[in-house]
Amino acid sequence: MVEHLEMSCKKASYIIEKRNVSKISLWEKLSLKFHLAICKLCKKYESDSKILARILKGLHKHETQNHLSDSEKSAMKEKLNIG
Amino acid sequence: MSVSTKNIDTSKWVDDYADAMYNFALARVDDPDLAKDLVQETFISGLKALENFEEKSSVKTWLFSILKRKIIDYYRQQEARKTKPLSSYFAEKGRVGHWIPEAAPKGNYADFEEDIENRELQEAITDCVGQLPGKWKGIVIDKLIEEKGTDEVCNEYDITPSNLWVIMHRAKLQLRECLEKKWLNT
Repeated sequence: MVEHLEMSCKKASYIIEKRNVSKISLWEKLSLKFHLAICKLCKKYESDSKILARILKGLHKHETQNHLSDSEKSAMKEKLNIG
Repeated sequence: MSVSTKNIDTSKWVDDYADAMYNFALARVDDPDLAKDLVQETFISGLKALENFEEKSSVKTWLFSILKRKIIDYYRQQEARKTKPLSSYFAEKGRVGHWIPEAAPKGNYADFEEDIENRELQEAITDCVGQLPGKWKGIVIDKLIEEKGTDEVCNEYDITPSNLWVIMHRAKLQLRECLEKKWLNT
C-alpha cells in the first residue's frame, strides 16, 4: 500500500500547482499528504507557492494605468486613413 | 476612415478604445512599442473586417476579441524561445524525479512577503513574469494576477484543464527560480 503512495517531487509539485487552480482527486490528496510528510523540500515548495500566489494577486492593485499620447493617437488615426 | 454601411462611427475608435486596448496589450506583452503596434493592427483588421461584423456584441468587445487573437498569435511565435525543460529542476538519474540540489526551494519567502510594498520588489516580480514564455505569461496574468476562472482561461487560450495544470506548474517553477535569483540572492 505504502509504496503505491510514493510520489516524486516532480509529481508532488505538479499536484500542488494543480490544486491551486482545480479540484484534485482523493488519491492525489492522499499521496500528496504522504509525500509532504516525508519531504521537507516539497513542504517548503508548498508554502512558498502559497506566498507567491498571494504576492502575484497583490500585484494587480499596484498596476498603473498607461496612456497613449495625443500624438501617438493622431499617428494611429493617420495610418487608419491610409489603410 | 471608410464609411460603414452599418452606422458605426469608426472615426471615434482610437479616442474611445485605444487606451483600454493599449493597457490590455501592455499587461500581456510587456513591451510598449509592441503593444502599440498590436492596437494599431487591431484597428486595421477591424476596419477591413467591418463588413463581417455581425453586431452580436459591442464594437468594443469585438475589437478586444481581435486584439486577443493578435496577442495569442504573437505568443505562438514566441513559444519555444524561453521554455526550460523539467529536467533542469528534477533529476533524471539517481533519485529520479527528486529536486536537483541547485534547483531545490531555498529562498526565504516569508521575508519576501514583508517586502511587498517595496517598489523594486514589485519591479523584480513584474520582470520575472515578463521573462516567461509568451503564452504562459498571459495565462499567469489571467489566472494568478487577475484570478479568472479556469474555464474562462482555458477557453481564451484554447487549452484543456490538464494543459493549464502543466503550464501553471512549469510557469511557477520558472517564476520562483527567477525570483530566487533576482531577489532572494540564493
